[in-house]
Amino acid sequence: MSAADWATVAFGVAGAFFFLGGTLGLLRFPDLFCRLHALTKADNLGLGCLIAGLLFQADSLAAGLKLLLIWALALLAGSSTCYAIGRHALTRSGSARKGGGR
Amino acid sequence: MTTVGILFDLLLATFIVLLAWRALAAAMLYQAAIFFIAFGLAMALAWARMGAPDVALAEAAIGAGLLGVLLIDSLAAFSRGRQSREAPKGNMTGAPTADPGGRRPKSRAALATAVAAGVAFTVVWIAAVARMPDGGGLTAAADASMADSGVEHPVTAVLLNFRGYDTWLEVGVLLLAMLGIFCAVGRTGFERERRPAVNDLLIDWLTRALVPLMVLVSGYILWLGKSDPGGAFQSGVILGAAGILLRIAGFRAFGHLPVWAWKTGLVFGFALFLAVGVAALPAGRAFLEYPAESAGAWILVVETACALSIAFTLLAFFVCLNAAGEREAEAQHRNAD
Amino acid sequence: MPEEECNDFPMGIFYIVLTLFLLANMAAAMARVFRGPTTADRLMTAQLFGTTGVGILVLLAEAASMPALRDVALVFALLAVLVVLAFTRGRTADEAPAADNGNGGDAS
Repeated sequence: MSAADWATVAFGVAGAFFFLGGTLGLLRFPDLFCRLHALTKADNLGLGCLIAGLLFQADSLAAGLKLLLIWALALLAGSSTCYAIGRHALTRSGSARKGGGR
Repeated sequence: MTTVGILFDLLLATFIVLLAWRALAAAMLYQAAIFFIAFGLAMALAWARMGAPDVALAEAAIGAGLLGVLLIDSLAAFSRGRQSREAPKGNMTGAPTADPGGRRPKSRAALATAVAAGVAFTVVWIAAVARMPDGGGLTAAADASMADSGVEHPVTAVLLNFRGYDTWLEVGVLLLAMLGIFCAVGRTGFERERRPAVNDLLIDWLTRALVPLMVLVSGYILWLGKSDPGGAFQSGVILGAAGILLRIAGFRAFGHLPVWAWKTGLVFGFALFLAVGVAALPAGRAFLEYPAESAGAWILVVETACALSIAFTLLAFFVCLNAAGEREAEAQHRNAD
Repeated sequence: MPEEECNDFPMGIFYIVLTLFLLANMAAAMARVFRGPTTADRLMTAQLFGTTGVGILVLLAEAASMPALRDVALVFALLAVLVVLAFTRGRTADEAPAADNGNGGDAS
């Protein structure tokens, strides 16, 4: 295995860790806002690390850029859906009391 | 390695069956919708795993993206209407806790029918698998004619050239579905004013950033069909999704077009496909047979027209259902007051 | 079988183990769709499914040398926002709070 492969493995394991964290958080955290927090870690860091690892294996510039575009889109989608869900929950119900006081 | 691969396949297959079952049996419609979205995603993974990226691409765009929006949007409309009519339950989602549509039929006859249908399907399926020709059926015949097809990707060659009438009729099916929606909920909602997003600059900005990208990717997927998995359907769905995103964010999204322009957009692909097919007849070729030397160009023309029409149709699905939901919610709101 | 196409044997195992792990994550997250308690929670699970699916697809693209799967992942990532936005903004979202409070939406 070359150094690039080791880097892929390291980043891949890190990504898997954040995916695991996101899933556990989604399952175990007590309220919606905490769970949102856990979810965005999987979106940003989980997929981010995974893609960073795969970048070492990219065989062309275009393939690498496409991977980066996928991650950028996931970042955009993750953060804006987090915002939309959080805002929706805050404006629509009394449950804001539980997690709104930041 | 293969052991892990088989483990992955087994888990994925179990997951898919579980999701399908929960989507059908869920007591709450929102739950069913989410399971259905997840089901589409898992199916796309399964197609990817089986080495069929064409189908995975279509499933990703239609199953996980578009159908999810249609389901969730319709549910949002009807559950809001219901919520304002019934006494609130302190349930902050307003999700209907028990809905007649979500219950599964419990009668013995229904169960017997389901079992009989399952057995019949299994018998037919086993018979079909047993009769499957060796060597992949028509794959060799398709491969032999690739040089005349005008494209480099075999799937596109089959879909747009060798069996073009299949694709033509599929576009027709979409048109029929549109007519069904027209009949069921009416032909309204096309013309509308811009509804600026109040206090929601982020969604506004996101839409402005994503829509051009969606149009770009749609064109990329369309062009890709020549040599790689891609093509009119996937491209049209992404373009339609861009329109839907505009509508959701409150933009007009062709709201200034009169209804006749919408209708033209809906039938355009089907009609052009038909015209190209018929034009082959006087020249002594078969229906939908392109001239061999310019087949690639004709396929591109037909695909572009179909992609535009598919995008229009899917946007019209959303627009009509959305308008119907809004009417319903308003009516129920009035009744509640 | 896609695995046989990759020439680097140890890396192939690594990718497929990683996809298996991500799929198991997805299956576990399904419990949140059952439990809810709110539709927003369920949508978040769908969001996590989507991201995990994108991860699995880019890994499969590398493991099976099928670059077309990256396009599938791209389409997934592109359409990911639609479902959530359809939910939060679907019904003239701006008048929603008033309508709900008027009905005593928070009886808790």
